[in-house]
Amino acid sequence: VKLRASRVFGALVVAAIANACSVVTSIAVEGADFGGASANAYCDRRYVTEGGTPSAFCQEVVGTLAASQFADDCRDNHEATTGPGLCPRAEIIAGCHLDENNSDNSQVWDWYYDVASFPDAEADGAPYFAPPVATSVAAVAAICADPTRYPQGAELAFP
Amino acid sequence: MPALLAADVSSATSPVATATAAAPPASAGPDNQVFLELLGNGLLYSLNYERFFSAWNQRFGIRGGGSFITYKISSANGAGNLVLASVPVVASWYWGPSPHKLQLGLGASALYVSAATDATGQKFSSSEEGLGIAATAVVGYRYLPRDGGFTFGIGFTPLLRAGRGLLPWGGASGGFAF
Repeated sequence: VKLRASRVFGALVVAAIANACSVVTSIAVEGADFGGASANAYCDRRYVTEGGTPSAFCQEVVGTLAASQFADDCRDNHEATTGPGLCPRAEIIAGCHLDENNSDNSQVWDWYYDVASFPDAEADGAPYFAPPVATSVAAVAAICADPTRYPQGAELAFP
Repeated sequence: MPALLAADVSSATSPVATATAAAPPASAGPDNQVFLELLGNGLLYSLNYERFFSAWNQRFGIRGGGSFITYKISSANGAGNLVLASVPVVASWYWGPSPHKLQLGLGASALYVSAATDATGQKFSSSEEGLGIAATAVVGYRYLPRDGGFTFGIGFTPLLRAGRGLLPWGGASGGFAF
């Protein structure tokens, strides 16, 4: 019984510390954001360098403290095009607003594009873009509702 | 309160009265304090110096401080640091018998931000990058012994900045008065 009680106490202490750390992080993020440390960034997956797999969407993060990390991840993991600000709005069909609770309170959108007229789309007859490739708002809505793509959930959004 | 005021007047004019006064004037106390504040008027933290003075039989203080944080946001090689600095300046009125004081203050905090860069040197900055000013205030409690020594305080320290609005904020501090 003593062992069980000490384990329960230990678990409570760990939970309390984790909760306290979470609160402290949240407060620090709030302050840093007020100071002007947060920014927006995008990762346009349509435009990739050699070795990258093009996808018909662009991901943008709004109000994040980790914009530079996001950009480096975009380049390193996807060979895609990144920069400060929001995704290009031209040719957007619709998007998915991710239901994620990021520790820096940032918001994430995936914007899906009409790529039918994309210059490289049919260069060698093979599909240029990795699936999914949306062609309508209904198709984007289906992508947003796909739990394998968005395990935390996502809502249909428009620019 | 009238008795206290009477003691103040007599203590200023008579050495005998000074020696026999039951309670020292409310305006008595240390002249300086240095303290570390977590959160508060300096946003995330600040190291501060405050100079006390008396006027109209009341205790006032002018405080200046600073904070500096630099942090490498991206772990990629070549990525640059985020820099966040603040300089709070606050004038306060301290009310109440020592060592327990109500602190009411007004001031401003200069805030400086330099955005982090990614591995290619590209900057990711907000519209507030650079130097900005936020108005700030203090409504709090301060433990301030008349003879100096350890001091601490806690309070509501909101900040107001154009474009960002009001940040309901608080802070806690500890330091040394002398």
